[in-house]
Amino acid sequence: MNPLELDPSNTRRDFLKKLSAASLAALMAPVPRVGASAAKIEQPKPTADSCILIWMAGGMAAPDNFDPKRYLPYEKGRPMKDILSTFPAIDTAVDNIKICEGLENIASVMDRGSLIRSHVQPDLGSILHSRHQYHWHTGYVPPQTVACPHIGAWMSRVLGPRNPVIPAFINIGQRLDSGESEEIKAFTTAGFFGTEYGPMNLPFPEEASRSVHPPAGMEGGRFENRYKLYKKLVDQSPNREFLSDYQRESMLRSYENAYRLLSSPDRDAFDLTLEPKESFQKYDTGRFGRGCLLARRLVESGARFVEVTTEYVPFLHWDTHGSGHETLERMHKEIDLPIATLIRDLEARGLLDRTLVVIATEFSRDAMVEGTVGSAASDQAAHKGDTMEDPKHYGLHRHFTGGCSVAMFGGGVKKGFLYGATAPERPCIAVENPVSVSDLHATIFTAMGISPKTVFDIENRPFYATQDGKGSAVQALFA
Amino acid sequence: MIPPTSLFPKTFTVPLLLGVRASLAFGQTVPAAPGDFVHQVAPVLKEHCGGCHMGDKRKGGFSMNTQATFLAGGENGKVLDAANPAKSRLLEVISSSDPDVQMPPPEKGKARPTAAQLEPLRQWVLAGGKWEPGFAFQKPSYQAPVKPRPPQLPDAVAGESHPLDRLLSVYYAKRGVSAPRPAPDSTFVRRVYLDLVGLLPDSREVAEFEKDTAADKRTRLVDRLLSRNMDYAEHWLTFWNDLLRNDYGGTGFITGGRKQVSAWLYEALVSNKAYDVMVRELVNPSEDTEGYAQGITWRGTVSASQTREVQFAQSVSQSFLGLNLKCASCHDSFIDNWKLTDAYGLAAIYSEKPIEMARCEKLTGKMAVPAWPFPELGQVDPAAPRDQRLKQLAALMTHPENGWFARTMANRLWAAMLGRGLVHPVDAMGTEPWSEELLDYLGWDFAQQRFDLKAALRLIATSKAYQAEAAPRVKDDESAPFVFRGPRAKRMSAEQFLDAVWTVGGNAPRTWDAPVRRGEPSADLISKTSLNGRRLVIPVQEEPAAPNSKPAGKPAAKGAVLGALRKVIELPAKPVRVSGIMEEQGAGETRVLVNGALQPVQRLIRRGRVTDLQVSENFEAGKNVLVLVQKVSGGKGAGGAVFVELQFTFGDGKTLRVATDDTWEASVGFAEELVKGGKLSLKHAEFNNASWSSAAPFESGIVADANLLSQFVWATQPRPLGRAALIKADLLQRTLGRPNRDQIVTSRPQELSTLEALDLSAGQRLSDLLSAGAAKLVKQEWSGSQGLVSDLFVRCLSRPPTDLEMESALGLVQGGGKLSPQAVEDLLWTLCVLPEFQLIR
Repeated sequence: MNPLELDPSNTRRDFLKKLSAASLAALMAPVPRVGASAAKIEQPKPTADSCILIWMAGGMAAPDNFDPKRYLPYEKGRPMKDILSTFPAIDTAVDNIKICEGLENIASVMDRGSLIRSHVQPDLGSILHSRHQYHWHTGYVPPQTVACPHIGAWMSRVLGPRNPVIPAFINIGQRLDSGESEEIKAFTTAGFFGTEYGPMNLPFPEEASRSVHPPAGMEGGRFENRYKLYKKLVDQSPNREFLSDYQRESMLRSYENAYRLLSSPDRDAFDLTLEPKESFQKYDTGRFGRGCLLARRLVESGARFVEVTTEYVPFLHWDTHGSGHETLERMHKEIDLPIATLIRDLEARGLLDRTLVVIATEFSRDAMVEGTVGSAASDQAAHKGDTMEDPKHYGLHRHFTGGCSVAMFGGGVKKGFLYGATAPERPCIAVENPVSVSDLHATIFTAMGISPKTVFDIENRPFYATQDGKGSAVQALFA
Repeated sequence: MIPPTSLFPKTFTVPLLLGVRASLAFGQTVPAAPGDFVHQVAPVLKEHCGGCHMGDKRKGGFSMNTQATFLAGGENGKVLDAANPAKSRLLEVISSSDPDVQMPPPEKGKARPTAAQLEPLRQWVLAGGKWEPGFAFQKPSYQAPVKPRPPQLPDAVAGESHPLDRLLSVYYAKRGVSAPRPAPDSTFVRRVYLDLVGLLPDSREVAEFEKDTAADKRTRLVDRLLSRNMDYAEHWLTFWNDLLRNDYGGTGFITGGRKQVSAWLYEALVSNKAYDVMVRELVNPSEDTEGYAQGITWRGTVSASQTREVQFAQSVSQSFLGLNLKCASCHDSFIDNWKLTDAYGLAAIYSEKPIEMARCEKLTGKMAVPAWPFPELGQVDPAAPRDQRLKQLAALMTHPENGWFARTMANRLWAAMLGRGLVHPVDAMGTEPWSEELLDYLGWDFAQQRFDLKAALRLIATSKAYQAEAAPRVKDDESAPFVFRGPRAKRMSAEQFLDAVWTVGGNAPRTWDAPVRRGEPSADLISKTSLNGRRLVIPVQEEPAAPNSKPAGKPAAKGAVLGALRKVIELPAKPVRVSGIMEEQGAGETRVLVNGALQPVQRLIRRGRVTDLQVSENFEAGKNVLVLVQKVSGGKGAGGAVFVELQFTFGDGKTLRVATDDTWEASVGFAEELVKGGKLSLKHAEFNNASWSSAAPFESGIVADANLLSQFVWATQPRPLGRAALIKADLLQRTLGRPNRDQIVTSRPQELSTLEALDLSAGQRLSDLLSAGAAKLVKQEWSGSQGLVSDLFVRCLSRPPTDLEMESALGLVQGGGKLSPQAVEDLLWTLCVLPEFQLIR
């Protein structure tokens, strides 16, 4: 589990130098379970060293993105039930894969990855985005009796950073002070692993470099002087008998680590202004696009796990309760080129083979079905009529948990591969090879070299990487 | 007698299995008769069952550690059938060839017991399965007592009078460790301030304490701090919010699935409500306290172990008994003795209707029987209605004979004060404390003091043990058995850190989120104040069918009839503060407008319809119009009365009172919409033009109401500054370890992580706080840079700088010649991130 052995880019000298920086908070975190059950866990050989999760927050409708169905244009008075897709299908670089109009750039790189069309979620009896997002991000359906770690925190805890000065788990694009923020914070955390493994939150990619630079006004050597005084006062402390105290030591090390990042050349990875203009423009479709660029720069510098989100804000972006078609035209413009450019850039730099890029969402959407067939979930569509009377009624406005799409690129997954299928007519549920959240997580963990049965002790109970250790990787996806 | 032994030496297991004579560990030689438990049965059980059912393993809730646990069986019932031994489950599973039935299960990959092993086992079972008396595979684990154990205090040695220290002196002698040295005054004063009221002492308080030469000065300081009711409450609120998972916003609130107990909790702490009373009010809740028992209700379906009822079982057992029933709420615990029936028993007490037990999400077909886990103290009547069951549970929980209950809280308080519990972790109350005598005493005394929390804290804080120098921690001390050598340094909580930074910089916020009533006015101040106003009748329409000022062409249905009261007020200057109260009688809701602008109002926390008015903003020098309006159409509010009294304070310190009285005027008007964007849509001018007549008094005389008077004094007294425990968690607090209170949290992280250090080093939020504090500090008068450095050291660390430190600090502060806000900010940052600042030693 030595993170650096996995990464040939780090020399042994670096490793020794950097290892001394290991924070003591890290050493105090829960430990892997040992004993009979743990002995049997074999960590798989990783096919990826880094992971970028591209999160389509709010429920990206599969039939309007990666799983086109029968298309019908808007027409006043048209029965709602006739609508399956509101975008026509287009060809991709792979013969048997078609996706939706608006995603032409992504279509051109489909031959670099696999597309899963049969991802399914539990219905949970009611649709609450934050709850399904909690489930997707931690692998556990809330509420739970312990604070569950985010999938990125698992990577951080089990694998550690690839480059010790770049935090192992970085979360880009989600503000934590907007609607439903408390619910989002509940899973944007390392949970019981402790904050050492928690996310570094960068809600605004263009301001990311501020997080690794001294605060405003610290120019002209002020920051260095301040740190020098701090070191002096630490050394001059009159409490001699307390010098060896473990907690004191722990704090000093953490400050050293922080200072190291704040004064390291690696922090340039956070600075988007250093990206050549031509390249920057390909990503500059909005905060999400710039987030993809930041993710690429961070992975190049040795980030372990990066999440980039279109951001969850109730009723915005993918969370279309009305005007779905119109909103998605905008969303396509925002995501299409940056995602495709990210894949191409990683490939051009020779990083795609060892970087797993996953595009996922908490559930799909449908024009008619709320939840899934037979669900007790209450209907949340703004327009409840049987026919379309206005262009804003045109779209997939109900939350659908019976079948959604996930795209995976690089990191050892097959190229140009299609897995699973949904029914051609409503209800468009997964009819072939359904993949649960546990199994999808198991696949991601396996690619990263983490067994889905990896287990930690919390409050004397076993807690597994996938729910109850039951996730199993979809082997068909691996090349 | 065979000693309890966790094991047979390896050297003799093998010959035993071969059925030959063997020498026992204790040197005896005995024949190996068929069915001989020690020699022929126990080794087989150990070999084939031990992996899952011995030591700390109890698969299926079944442990073979002792005869008692063996006979008790597990989730699938007893393993030995006394009436018909041949049908015993033990024989069935160990000899079965059916992979679904056989034990050990086939996937364990181990060899099946041989015929030579099975035969003696079968003989033994048929003979009744008798154990060798006293034999145990593992020494029974520690059994925590339930009942209180009245302590035997050892003789006082060398004038030692404090009961805790008397007990500890015996402990030190037994462990061969020396008693820790007393902490110096400056260390003690900082520690006791932060521990009891959560605040840093200011420079004057430190100096006065150090100057005091009285022998009892530490005890007096403890008493002084404990008597600061508001400060005490606002510090310990953090402990209680964590313990009761209470918060002011967060998971569950948006869907109405969660309710605060903040107002109740705050008052309980301010008034030092007895702990047993608090718990009875939480377990058998009223409207004020039901949020705790209700837990968090998520929209949609939840797992069986997270229903409201099972959450109740988990919460009450963890909060008040230090027990973890989380395992047992899904299946019989593999790690301790708690069973599914224990968790569901508690759940069924709370449940409105009978509940069926689920094991690992599968319904078992068995109905839960209301019961609590300590039947030795009495039991809840399962046939009683729910409110009776809850009352009975509350009574059992807080029963004088429930020593466990008292010890659990006593241990939490000890841990909060000394950095580590007598039982550690604090929610493993079934495990052995490092001193049973000390814990017994703390619990017993707590009950004797009628569960007075402050008395318990006083007992601890006045002991030499608490007042001793902190014992440094060595890295690997968690694995070795704990030996008490002195208090442990504690990391400041997020709340303490923020409060400290605010205190040092003098820039605490003036608002807060907790719906609590802060700062009770003194009885003296109340007695010196009186009210001048009287209640006025809200005017209603004589003929509701025809609004008298209905604008032409507008449908009546859209509008509302308003009853209004107004007062024109001449002010000599713009007031700096206008505060007071409003009381309403009747069903209508009164709005307050100052010069046409709607005023924000906050209902006071107390029952009754009294509202806190802080309405400074829209009053100006000269003529002002204060209007009270109520929607009176539709019968609602008709016949209501209102009382308002305001105090105006001006820059020169002068005050003016305005209250509802016979100089007020009344009118009834019609408005399309009551208010729009903070303005009456019925134009202000129209109200001025409406016909106004003298307001009618609701009753004769000015109000004489002690409650109103005290509310008025409270509303008009100076507002205290904000405290971190009263505000919603922001990112900085979260960074510093304030938990998301979805779960009960009984210990905060003690280590500072790299990301936290990064946030403290580069984060804008702390930087802004420090720079605002520095801006205030540089404006004060200082006796040179030295004076400032010296004062900041005392404020932050409760001690002056050494000469070396002074020199280093001056190097930074005087770098630019004269004192600059930047230099002060940098010094502040340096002091605030020092371990000496962030650790409470």
